[in-house]
Amino acid sequence: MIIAVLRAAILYLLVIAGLRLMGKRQIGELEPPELVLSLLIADLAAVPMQDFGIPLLMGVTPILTLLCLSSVLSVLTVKSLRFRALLCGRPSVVVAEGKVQAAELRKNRFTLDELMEELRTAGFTDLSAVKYAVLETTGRVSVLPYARDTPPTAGQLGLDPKGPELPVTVISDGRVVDRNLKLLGLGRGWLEKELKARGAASAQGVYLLTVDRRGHVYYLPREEKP
Amino acid sequence: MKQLILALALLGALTGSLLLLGRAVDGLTGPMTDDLTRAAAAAREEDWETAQTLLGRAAETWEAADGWLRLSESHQTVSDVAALLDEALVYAGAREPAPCRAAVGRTVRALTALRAAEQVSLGTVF
Repeated sequence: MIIAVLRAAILYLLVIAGLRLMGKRQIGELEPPELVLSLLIADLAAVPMQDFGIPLLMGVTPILTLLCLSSVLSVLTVKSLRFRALLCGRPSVVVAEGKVQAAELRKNRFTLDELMEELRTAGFTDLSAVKYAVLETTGRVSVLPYARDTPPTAGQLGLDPKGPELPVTVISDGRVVDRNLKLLGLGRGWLEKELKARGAASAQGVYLLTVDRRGHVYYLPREEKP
Repeated sequence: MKQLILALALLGALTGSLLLLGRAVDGLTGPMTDDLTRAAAAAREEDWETAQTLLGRAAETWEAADGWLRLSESHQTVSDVAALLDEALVYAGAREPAPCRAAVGRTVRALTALRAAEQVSLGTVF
């Protein structure tokens, strides 16, 4: 049985490494080559994981081959627009100037119901508010509404509000993230003062503490166990 | 570009090692098949001493390669060939020419199939 554990661990780590190489996309956002890779990898890993009569290398070799090919294809798609179009397809404009492009829908085997569903998901229940809708290569629909149906921006209203600053985690679950402290140009001395001011004896009593560039501190103490 | 080079290098290394594996399997099964063919001929002529010597040598060669074979080939195939060689040796010991030759024939077919599976050809690819 220990063989099952070892094989499962090896293949699991290999599949994770493979999916990690694909980047941070979600399943619904996968391009065709990535989707194929994730489907195949899972299947290839499952067989030698269960059947001990099959050498582990028979599972590992095709997985490594697929990962290499996937890397080669991804580099080629970055380098060549034509290759990218061939492999991943091109985005299709399915609504242009407020008119549904039936031919484009047919070409992509995308029904009107599916288009309406995607528009509703994007927050548009009324087709007359949509100026452009683009069916992306991932299968998602991007929507560009008419200006009259878009809320005005601060810039359009002539306002100049202060932009938000990115809060950086300094204490996470009782642990001090020294790298982030250094990033903010702060030190342990500053942190101790802050903790003292908030009545915390040490970092271990803090669940979360974030600081932004303006020095705004968000402090969340650890909840006491009942 | 680094990613592309790394991927191509790994693909090359994989292909190279699999080609080497094919050669290793060929180098193992080729002489074994020759020994077994000669053993079958010796059994036909009831030269049991020669038949046993050749079968014993083939069985030893197979046993010695068992470790690396199990890394790359189906464990069932590796065990089957070992069992067939044992069977042929038992029949040779019992001086039964027909079953001995039949067992040797099955072993040769198993080795030929194994060898063919590791060679790149239209037949194995498709």
